[in-house]
Amino acid sequence: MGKFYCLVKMTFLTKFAYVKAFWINIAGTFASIVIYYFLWQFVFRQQDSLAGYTAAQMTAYVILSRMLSSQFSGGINSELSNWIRTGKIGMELLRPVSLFFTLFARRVGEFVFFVIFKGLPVAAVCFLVLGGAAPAGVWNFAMFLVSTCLSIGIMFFFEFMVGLCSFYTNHSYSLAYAKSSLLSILSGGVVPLFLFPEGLSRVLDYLPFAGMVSVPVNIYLGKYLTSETWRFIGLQMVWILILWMAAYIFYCCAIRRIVVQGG
Amino acid sequence: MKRLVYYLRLWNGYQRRGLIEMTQYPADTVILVISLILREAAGFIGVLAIAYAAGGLGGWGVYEICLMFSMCAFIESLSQTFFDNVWGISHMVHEGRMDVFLVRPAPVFLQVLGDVVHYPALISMLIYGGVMVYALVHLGIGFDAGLLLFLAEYLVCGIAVNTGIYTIFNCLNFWIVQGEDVAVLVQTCREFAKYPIGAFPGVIRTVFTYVLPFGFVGYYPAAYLTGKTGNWVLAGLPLAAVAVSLVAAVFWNLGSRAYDSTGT
Repeated sequence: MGKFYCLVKMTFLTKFAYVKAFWINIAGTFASIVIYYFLWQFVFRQQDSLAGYTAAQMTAYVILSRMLSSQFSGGINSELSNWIRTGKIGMELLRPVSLFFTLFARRVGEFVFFVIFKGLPVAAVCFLVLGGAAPAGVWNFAMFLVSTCLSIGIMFFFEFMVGLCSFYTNHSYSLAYAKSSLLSILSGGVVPLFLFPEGLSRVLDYLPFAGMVSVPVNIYLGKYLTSETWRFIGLQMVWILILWMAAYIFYCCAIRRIVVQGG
Repeated sequence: MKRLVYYLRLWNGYQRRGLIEMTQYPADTVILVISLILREAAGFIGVLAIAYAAGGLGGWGVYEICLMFSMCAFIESLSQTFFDNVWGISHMVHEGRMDVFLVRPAPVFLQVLGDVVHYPALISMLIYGGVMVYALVHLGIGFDAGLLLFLAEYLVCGIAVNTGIYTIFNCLNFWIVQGEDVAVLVQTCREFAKYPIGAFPGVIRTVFTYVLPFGFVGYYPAAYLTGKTGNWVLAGLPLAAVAVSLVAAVFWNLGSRAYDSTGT
C-alpha cells in the first residue's frame, strides 16, 4: 500500500508541475459544457421535459457528463505508448512491481488530480452559474461517488489495451483520438443514451462504456430505482473483472513482441 | 513565371513524398482515417440527436445541420491534408529545426507546409463530401452552375480562414514559449462554430463573425445555401479570407524575422 501511495503522489506532483497546460484543458471542458448547455436550452424552450428530464436535470447531465468524459482525452495509454516506442518499457518491466500496478497507481493519481483541480471547481462554477439540478438525495450522491470511482477501473483497462496497441502500430496519437471520441459517444458523454434508437440504447446501457458516464450521472439524477442502482453497480464490477482478464491476456500476447534496442 | 513553375514542382515533390509515406504503413493509414472520422463524428452525433429530440434547432432542421457540419468537416479535412504542419511550428521553433528551412532557396512557408502531408485525411474528406451531397439533395438544392461557383468560392475562402487563423496563433510560438497552448485554446473555441451559431448568445456570435471569423467556415455559407441569410455572404467570405490571410502573412513575416535559432 505504501508503494501505491508513493506512486499516486508522484503522478499527482508531476501533473501539478504542468498546471499551466491544465488550464487549457479546463477551458476546453468548460467550452464544451457551455455549447451543450445552450443547445439543450433550445430544446427546453419548446417543451418542459424530455423523456422525464427537466431542464435543470439536463443541465446537470451536461455538466457531469462532459466533465467525466473529458477524462477520456487523457489516461495512461499515451504514457504506455510512449514507453513502448522509446523502449523505456524494458526498464519498467525490470522493476519489482508489475506493470499493471505501476500504471494503475498512476491512473489513480491522475484521477485524484482531476477531481481536485477540475471536477470540483468546474462543477461548482457551472452548477452555480448555469443552475443544474441538485442530486436526487444523499444516498444518490453517495452512490454516484461509488460508481464514479468504479468507472476508473473500467477506464484503466481500456486505456491499458489501447496503449498495448502500440506494439503493433506507430500511430498512438490517432489511436488516442479515436479512443476518446468513441468512448464519449458510446458512454453517453455526448448525449444521453436514451436519445439513440430504442434497441441500441438498451444494448449500450449494458455495455461497459455506460459505466463510465451514463450510469453514475443517472444515479446522481435519481433515474434508477434502488434495486436498479445496485444492479448497475454490480454490472460495473463484472465488467471490470472481464476487462481485467482481457487486458491480461492481451498483455501476455503483446509482451512477446517486445524489442528494445540498447538502453 | 519561372519561379512559379519551380514552386509548383517543389509542391509536387512534397506531395509525392506524402503519398509514399502513406503507402509505407498501410495499417497506420487506416487508423489515422478512422480517428479523423470519429473525431468529427462525436459532435455530429451529439447535435443531430439533440436536433431530432427538439425537432430542429432555432430554425435549423436536421438536414441543414448535416449540411453545415459536413461543410465544416470538409474544410477541416482539407486543412489537415495540406496545411497541418502549421501546428508543427512550435516544435520547429523550440528545437531549432527552422534553420534548415531558412537556408534553402525556397519560401519557408511552402517548405513548412510541405514537410507534413496527411493524404489519409482525404478519405475522411470524401466521406463528409458524401454527407454534404446527401444533405443538399434532401434540402432540394439544385446542382447548377451557381451552386458550383459558390462551393468553389467557399472552398478557397473557407480554407484560407481556417488555416489563416491557425497560422496566426501558431506564429505566437516565435515570441512566447507557450504559444501552442494558445493555439489549442483557439481550436477549442472553434468547436462553437460547428453548431448553429444563432443558438448562442450575441457575444459569442459577434466573436465568431468579426474577431475569429470561424463562422465563415460553416455557419454562414450553410445559412446562405439554405436561404437563411442574404447575398452578403458572397462578399463576406472573400473579405474574411483576405483579412485573415493578410494578418496571417504579417504575423508569419514578423515571426520568422524574430526567429532565434536554438543553436543545434
